[in-house]
Amino acid sequence: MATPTEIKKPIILLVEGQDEEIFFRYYRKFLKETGREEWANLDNLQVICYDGISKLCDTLKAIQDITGSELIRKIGIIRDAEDNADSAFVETKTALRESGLDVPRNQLISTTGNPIISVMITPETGAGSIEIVFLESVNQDPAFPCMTQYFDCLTPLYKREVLAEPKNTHKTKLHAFLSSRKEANISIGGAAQNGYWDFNNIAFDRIKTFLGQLIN
Amino acid sequence: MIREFTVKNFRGFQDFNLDNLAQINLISGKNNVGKSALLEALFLHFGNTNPQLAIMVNGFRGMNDMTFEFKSFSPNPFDSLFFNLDHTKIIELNSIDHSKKSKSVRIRLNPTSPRLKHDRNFSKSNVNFNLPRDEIGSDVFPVIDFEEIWHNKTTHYQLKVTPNGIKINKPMNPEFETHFVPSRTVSPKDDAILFGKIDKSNFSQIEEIVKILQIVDNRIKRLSVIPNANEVMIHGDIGLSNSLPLPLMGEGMGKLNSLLLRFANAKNGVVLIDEIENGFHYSILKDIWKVIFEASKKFNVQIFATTHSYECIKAANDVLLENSQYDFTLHRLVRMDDKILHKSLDKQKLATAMESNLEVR
Repeated sequence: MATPTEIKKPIILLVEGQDEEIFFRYYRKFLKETGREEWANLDNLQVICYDGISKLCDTLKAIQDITGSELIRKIGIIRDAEDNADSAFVETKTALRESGLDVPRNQLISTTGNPIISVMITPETGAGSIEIVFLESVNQDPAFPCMTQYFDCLTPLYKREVLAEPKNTHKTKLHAFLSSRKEANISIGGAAQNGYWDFNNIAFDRIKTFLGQLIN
Repeated sequence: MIREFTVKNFRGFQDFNLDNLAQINLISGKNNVGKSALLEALFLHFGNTNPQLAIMVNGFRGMNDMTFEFKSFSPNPFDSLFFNLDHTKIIELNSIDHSKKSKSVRIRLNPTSPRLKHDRNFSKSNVNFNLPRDEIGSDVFPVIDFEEIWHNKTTHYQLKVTPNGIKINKPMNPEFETHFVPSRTVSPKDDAILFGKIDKSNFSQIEEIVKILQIVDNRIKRLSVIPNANEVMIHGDIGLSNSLPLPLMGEGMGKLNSLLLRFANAKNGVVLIDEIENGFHYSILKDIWKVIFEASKKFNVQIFATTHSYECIKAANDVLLENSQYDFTLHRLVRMDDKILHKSLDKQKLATAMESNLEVR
C-alpha cells in the first residue's frame, strides 16, 4: 500500500486526476528551474488529486481535517469545464460552500479568508477539458496535421452514426496525437515526464498565471 | 453519553475542547500529543467519586511504585497531573451529555499539602498505594480534592496521602461504571474479578465471550476462573488435558477478553482503551471492530480508544462502509504552537480520506 498522503505544505493545489498530478509535478519542476524569483515559493505547494468533480466536495471536507491540515493557508482548484465552464464554476462554488470554505466571485479571483481559495476552470469559457491546453500547445507540431486528418476521416462515420462519437473529443485527439511519440500509452502526465510538452508555449500561460497567483 | 468534553490544566492540556463526540470515538495523533492523557482526563471525569483514580492514572503508565517524600521542596506525585507541573492550578474536566446536561469536575491540590506548607516534620517515606481505603484523618498531606457539580449539586471527594498510606473520604459508587484498558497488560486478577461479576448475573454472556474469542483462536471452548499461585486467573479450555491460563494464550486473546469483560460490566457506561490495536494481528482487526461496534450497541457503552495504526483505522472504516448505522467519529489530535487542537472526521470524511489514501493518524 502506498504511504497515505499527509498535508505537508501550506498551499494546496487540487487537480482532478492522478495524471494531472503527475503533469503538475513536472511543470512545477520546470518553473522552479527557471530560477526566477516569482517561483521561489513553489516549494510551499502540494498537489493533491480529488478524483473527479463528484468527489470534490468530500475531498474538500476531508482535507480540512486530515493529518497536517492545520498547515493549509491556500487552496487552488483546477477542473475541467466539461459541457460548460460557467456551470462547472457554479458546481465548484457549491462544493466549496458545502464544505464550509469561502467561495470566490470569479475564476482566478482569490478569496481573502483563511484558507484563501481560488479556482480555475479549463477552458475558461465554453465546453472542454484541460486537454485543450495541451492540444493548443502542440498545434504547430509536425504530427498535429496527421492527427487532425485522422479525425477528419472519422467525422463522416460519426455523422452517419456508424460509430458513436467519443464523449471527450479533446481527450481522444490528444491521445491520438501522443500516439505519434516514441513512448506508447501515455497521457499528459507521462508526456510531461518524457519531455513532450513545450512548457514555454503560450498555451500554458493561463495555468502559469493561476499558479503564480496561488503561491504568491 | 457525552457529546462534548473540555479539559483545562490537565497534563499537556491547558484549555482543550473535544466536540462531535459519538458513541464510538477513535483518537489518533502523533506521539506525545496527549491521546492517553485525554483518556485519563475522561477517566477522572467519569470516575470522580473515587479520587484514588488520581493515583491509578499514573499506574497505567507503569508508575505503580511512587516515592513520596514528606518534606518541603520534594517532588509531589500529583504534580504530573497538572499543566506545566503547576499544582497551584485547578484541573477542570467538564462534559455536556446528549440531553445538554453538564457535569463539572474540578481537581485541586489542597493548599495544606507539604510542599506548600513547608512542613519539615515528616521524614522520607515510601507510600504503598495499595493500602485499603480509610476514613480521612486530620493530620495528613497532601490532599487531592475532587469537586463535582452535577444536577445543580456540589459534592466533594478527597484523597490524602499519609506516611502510612492513602486515605479517602466519601467513597461512593458512580452512576455507571467506567473501565480503562491501558496499553500495558491488564492485570489477570482484575479480569478474573470482572469475569466473576458476569458469571453470577448472566451465564449466556460467558458463552458469547467464548464465541467471540474464537476470532483469535478457534480452539477455545470454555472459560473458567481457577486459582493460580496466589491469585485467581481466567483459564481457557482449548482441548488440552488442562485448561491454560489466558495470559499464556497470547496477547490478542488476553486483550480481547479484557475488552469483552469491560463492555459487559460497563452497561450504560464508558470504556476507555489505550492503543486499541495492541496485541491484534492486522488480519483480525476488522473482526475486532465488528465486535466492538456490536458490543457498544448491546451494552449501550460509549467508547473512547486511541490508536497509532492506519490498519486499525482502515479496519474500522471497512466495518462502517458495510454498516452505516454505527455512531462513530475519528478525532485527530495535533499540537500547534504549544496548544493541543483536534480535528474530527465523521464517517463520510473518514471514508473519503481512506478511499483517497489520505493520512489521518
